[in-house]
Amino acid sequence: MGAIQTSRADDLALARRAAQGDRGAQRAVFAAHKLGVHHTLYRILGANREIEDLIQDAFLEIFRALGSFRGDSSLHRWCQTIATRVAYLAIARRRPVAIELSAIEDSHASGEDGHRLVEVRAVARRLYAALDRIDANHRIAFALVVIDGRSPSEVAQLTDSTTVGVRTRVFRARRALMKRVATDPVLTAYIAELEGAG
Amino acid sequence: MTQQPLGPPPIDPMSDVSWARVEREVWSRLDTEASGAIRRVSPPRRTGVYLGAAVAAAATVAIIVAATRSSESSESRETAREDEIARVVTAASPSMVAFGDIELTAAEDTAVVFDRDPKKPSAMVEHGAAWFEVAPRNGRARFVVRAGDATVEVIGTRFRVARAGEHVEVEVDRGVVGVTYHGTVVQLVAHDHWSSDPVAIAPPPPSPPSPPSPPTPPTPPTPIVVAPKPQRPTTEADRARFEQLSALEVHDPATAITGYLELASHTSSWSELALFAAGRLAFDRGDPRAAKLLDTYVSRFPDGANATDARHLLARLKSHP
Repeated sequence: MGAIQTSRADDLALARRAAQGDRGAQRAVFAAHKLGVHHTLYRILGANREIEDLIQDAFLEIFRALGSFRGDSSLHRWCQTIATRVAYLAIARRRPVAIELSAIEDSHASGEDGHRLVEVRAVARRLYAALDRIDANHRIAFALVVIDGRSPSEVAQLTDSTTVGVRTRVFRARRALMKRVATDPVLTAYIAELEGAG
Repeated sequence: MTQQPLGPPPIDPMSDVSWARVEREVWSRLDTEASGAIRRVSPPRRTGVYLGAAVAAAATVAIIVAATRSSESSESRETAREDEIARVVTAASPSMVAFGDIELTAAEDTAVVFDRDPKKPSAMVEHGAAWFEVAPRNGRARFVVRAGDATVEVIGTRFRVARAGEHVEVEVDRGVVGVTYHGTVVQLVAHDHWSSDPVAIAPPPPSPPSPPSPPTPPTPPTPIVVAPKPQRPTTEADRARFEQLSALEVHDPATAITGYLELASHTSSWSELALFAAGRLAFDRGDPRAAKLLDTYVSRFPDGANATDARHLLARLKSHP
């Protein structure tokens, strides 16, 4: 997921036009940030059948709030912040259940790469099932830092927190996760792998 | 577990169809918020019921049934819609396709995505032009056609939607449709033509043969703008009641008239529409109350959304009592 490279002035001008109801500007915002919003929601929540509805919610919130965008951060980062809030609300509201990733048909699941893909889907399903049972803030910090590989400072901006606060949440998420997955050596190893990569 | 690192969990991309669905829902909801209006489409005065063949004259038509969401599990499939999403594409000649009781006649060089979701059946005109023959919904979800920024909502009718880039045109053969465009709601009746801007797209293709419909009084040619009137509150309950009564019109018009009259006594913006609907339905049925109801409507709402329509019907009653 590459960040959209635009200047703050461009972002601000686009946001103002979109906030005034300019459909062309709104389409431009949607096109530029839809993948980033999808990526953030997916990383925090895992595969879930509500993802389309959540993307809709995120963009509605984005368009409703665009009038308050002041260009203090990039529009990309600002959209990510709203997506993170939408994910938080989704967790708090209904805790979407991570779906059976292993049940997804995968036309490329053949050969060595295919076996690896099946394996990672299976372990990811168990990981998100375990994440469903921990505190929402801890989950978000863990998902974005450990799974997605973002820096604690970036996640602090997205979650309106501090770097120390994010590190603490990741630590607590890990501790809670490890208690839950102690009997699952594959998942334990996978978490360790993700932490090492991050 | 293999010795090789697995890497982060994959992120399943969304299909173009899913993105299109998300995008149009976002625009639709933004338009609704911008207008502050709840759907205000009047029920059809006459409807054409035509159950077409499953596929006819499809020499050059390509129908692509898109895959359902790739991220759905076996569990979600159990509760998933039974519908399919199809993309109808024509080349050098027009083609006709029926999806249940909704018939689509696509002109040449046209692409239409058709979503058969029974809860919200819809079509999206990507480019080109198409006639839609929609059987009366009778309480089922309304059929919605989207083309660019325009949204056409119908209960039962026959109409054409054409799109070239962001330019959209709607032409109604019979029945009533509501067009939402940039927050403005326009109601079209038979023989009305609406364009998103003064630039014409292209001459409409010759209308395919239409099934016979019962004789009904002619409708006025002028589009009726039903922009929201903030001075009167709009209530969700009244809107729901109005839609219930719309659905009743076909099977139980007497009860529908009674219900409309009761709704007309309310203070919401739906009371105006309900009073006109009662008068119109009475007119259609030859009910002697029609003149009184329409006259009352014109008196109470001389500049109302349906005032022109009401005066037209009154004139007809006076010329042919």
